Amino acid sequence: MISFKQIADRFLAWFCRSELYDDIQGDLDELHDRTASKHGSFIRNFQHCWSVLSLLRPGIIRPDLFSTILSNRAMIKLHFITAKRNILRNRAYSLINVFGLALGIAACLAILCYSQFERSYDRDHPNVDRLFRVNQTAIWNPDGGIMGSTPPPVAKLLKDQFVEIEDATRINTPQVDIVRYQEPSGTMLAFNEENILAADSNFFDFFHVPLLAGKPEAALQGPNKVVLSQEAAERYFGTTSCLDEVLLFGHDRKPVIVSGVAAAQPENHHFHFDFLWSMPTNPNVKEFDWSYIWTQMATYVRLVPGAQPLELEAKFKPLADAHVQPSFSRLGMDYHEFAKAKGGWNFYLQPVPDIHLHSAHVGNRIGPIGDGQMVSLLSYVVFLVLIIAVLNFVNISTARASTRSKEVGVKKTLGAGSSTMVSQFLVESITVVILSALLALPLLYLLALGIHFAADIRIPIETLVDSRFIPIYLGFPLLLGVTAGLYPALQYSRIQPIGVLKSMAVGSGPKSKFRQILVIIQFTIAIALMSGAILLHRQMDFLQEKNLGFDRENVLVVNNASQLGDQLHSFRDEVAKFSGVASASLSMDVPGRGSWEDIYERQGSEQKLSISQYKVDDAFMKTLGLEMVKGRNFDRDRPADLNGLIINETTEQSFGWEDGALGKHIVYPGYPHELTVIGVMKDFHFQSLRQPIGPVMFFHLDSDMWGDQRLLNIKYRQADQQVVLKQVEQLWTDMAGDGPFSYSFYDEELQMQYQQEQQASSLLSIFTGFSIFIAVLGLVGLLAFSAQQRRREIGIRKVLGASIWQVYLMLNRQYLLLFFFSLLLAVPLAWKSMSDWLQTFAYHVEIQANLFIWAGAIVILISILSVSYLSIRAATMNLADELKD
Amino acid sequence: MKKYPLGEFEEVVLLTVGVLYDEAYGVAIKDEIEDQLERKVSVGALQAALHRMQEKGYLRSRTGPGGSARGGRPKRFFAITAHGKQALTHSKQVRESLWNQIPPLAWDV
Repeated sequence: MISFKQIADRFLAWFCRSELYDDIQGDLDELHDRTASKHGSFIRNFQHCWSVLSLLRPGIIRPDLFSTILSNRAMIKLHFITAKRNILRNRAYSLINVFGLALGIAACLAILCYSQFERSYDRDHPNVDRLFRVNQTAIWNPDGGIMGSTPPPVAKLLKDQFVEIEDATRINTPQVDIVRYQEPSGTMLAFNEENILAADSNFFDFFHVPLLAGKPEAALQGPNKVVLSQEAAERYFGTTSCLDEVLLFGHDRKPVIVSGVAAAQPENHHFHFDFLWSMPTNPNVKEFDWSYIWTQMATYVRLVPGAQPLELEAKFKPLADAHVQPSFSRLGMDYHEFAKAKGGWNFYLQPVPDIHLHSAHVGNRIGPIGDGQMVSLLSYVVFLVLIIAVLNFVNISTARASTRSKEVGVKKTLGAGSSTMVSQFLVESITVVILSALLALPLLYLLALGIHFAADIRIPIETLVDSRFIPIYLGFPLLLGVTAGLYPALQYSRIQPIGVLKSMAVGSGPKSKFRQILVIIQFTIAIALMSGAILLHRQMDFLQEKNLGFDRENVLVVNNASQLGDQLHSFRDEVAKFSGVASASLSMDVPGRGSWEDIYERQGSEQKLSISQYKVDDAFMKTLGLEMVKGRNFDRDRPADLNGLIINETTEQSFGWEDGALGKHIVYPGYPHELTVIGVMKDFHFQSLRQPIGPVMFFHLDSDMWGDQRLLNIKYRQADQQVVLKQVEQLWTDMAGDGPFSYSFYDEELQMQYQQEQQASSLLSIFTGFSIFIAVLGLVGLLAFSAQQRRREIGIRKVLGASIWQVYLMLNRQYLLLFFFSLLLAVPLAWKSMSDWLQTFAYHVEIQANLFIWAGAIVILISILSVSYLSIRAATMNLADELKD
Repeated sequence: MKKYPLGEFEEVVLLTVGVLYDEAYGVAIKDEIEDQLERKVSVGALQAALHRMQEKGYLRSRTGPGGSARGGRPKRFFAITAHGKQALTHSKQVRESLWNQIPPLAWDV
């Protein structure tokens, strides 16, 4: 086996001045030899090749090199002429070949852009290789795990205790939604804002967020300061020169001074803010300075150069035991028991560039995270599409080449050597690949538009200009052209001219087997992708239509209702009186928006349970159509209901109340009142269908349980939707004044839960379509080819009395067999990967045999229909034309 | 046209050849520059500079025995010629003269 180094050395010997060659080669060998202990052979060979390439410059290249190459120019030119003639002579094949491959390359580039962008997050921060987010044990999850949120004191603790930590900073999410600005004219601007963060004053040392106005070292120093994003500054002030203006935050209209304006933040950061408070602006931070369970921070550390994150992580082990306990004693809780249930309380370091794609369970409290699974799914699918396209290319190229033995024979007789024939075939196949690569660019553009439209995923094709892609884009066609051209090239360079010229035979025995195998692989992939696409659709339908145990249709949710303050209840009562409204209810949250969990005890036992909780009023169950199993709903006329609870069946069973939960008590450590179960409701899916139904319970809306957020849920009559929306908005404006009105339709909102699956499903459909299209394209090419090859045979068969149908069958029979094989191979492959995916849902459809039957039938039907035209044309040809010559 | 054409990189190479005196062959020169100037030097750039300067007459070379790591291939040792020395001196003088002409006020930056 010849190594890259040997190839490079030969290349050097070829182009280098002979008087310099010996000592340069010696230098290179010495360099190569002495890095043996440091690097693997791959890196060393790469460096070696690079050095050889770097020698390609005047002074080192031998002066007569170019004239040597140019003397071959005539022949190379001839190769191109032959290639051009061949491509043009068989326009149909060339088109199929070029187009199929271009589609494959375009798909591949699209996903390359996408995954490259997803992997490019947070690379631009200073010293990013030393930047880590501090994660900790997920103390709110009954099963433990790791989360990206940490309490306030951790940053200071870590910085003080470890010399390996150069500095630490924190980002917090203040729970504020409305921002107002009093314009000089007196009018009040008010917007609901979502991207409000607070950060320590050294934030700008950590993250690459340049300021257009204000000083980075002073902007977040001291309380009541805010840095705006460029967009926000323009929205409120129409300009970015707005330093020292005052914005009013929240319901209590807290005045905060603008101390800086940040330049537009790149899309590939793991957080984006419109408003960045200085940390002391959020009074809660000071208040919870002592607390190790107020996990409302994202904490980041920068290590000193050379520090080992893993070693440091190991040193974190004793931290929690030493420092968290006082927090717990203050709340009257038992730290050791709590920590034991989570498998210990630990801190971890996660590299900042990993946050975007590798936080599936860890989360990111200050921004959305990417879907690493989606990236790998797409890469996987596109790899398959590319395989189909490449096999197509190889298949058609080899089939085409086999008709050219005569040409090779003649050329060899006239004195062409083996190497000439090899280079001729290579030049041809590389030409075709280069044409495809060019055609792929406009296709890529169309594909990106299509994906954006169908799946709402942006393909950042502008990253293609990235210099790292250029070698791929240039190198891939060469590699593919050489690989696909090599087989026929070697085959035909060995031909004995006398043999082919004498018999004019087209040798196709073993080679057509080879092609059949390629066809089987192609259709295996196509059928597997097809069944995956169908299954994804079925699962999506299932998710959309599954009875969740509550009614999501015709429900309007008014958000941020807590701004109404004292008028909240009268707002609900007024809305309930509208003629189009069936019922209206206030709650802290609705199922499907995530849930708050806490740990509760069954009274009289040590049994603890993590239960999700909602705060609702007496109309909530009616509004969402929830069913009661026993007991009763909250009652407005019973003040004692403030400490009543409605639990679901799962909670009842988990606490082991076989004799009925009514009248039983649940203890919430630290809660001042006794909580009594007054009703048990039927289980419903308050989380997405990925999770099984867990324990959940309802507190009374006006109870002392924490949670200030309020929503108004309105069940309306379908026909009155628009009227109701208008009435509610009018009433809101009357009561809330300038407070912005924000609402959503509940069924649409719930659909968003499965947005990622929806996107995956759309994308898979697109690429399945691609793969089938390319595979069929190839099949058409092959069949056309074999029909042409067997013209004479078909003619003779027809003379001897074969019917059109018989000829048709003869041409298609072999492919039917191949389809059958493909189906057999595709079933286990698809089965395995699909059942793995389905496991991520607690509730899912089953994989049924008819899935594969459908997938196979669709693929085969499309194929047969596409090749039928060719078969029928071959079968109905005019006998005389074919047999006369 | 300059009296002694000498590029920045060429000057570095030439000086390094002088520093290494008897041991100035390809790999050693590359190591020395990478070590002292903390910059990466590609084999190609170095070899091109060496042979260019040999043609200009700043350097001369002889071949010496190579070790086993080199597959027995010879080393080419370089040395500065009198012409090379003049080029270096010239370059140094030009710089010094420029330095001396900078008025002290210009340093108040």
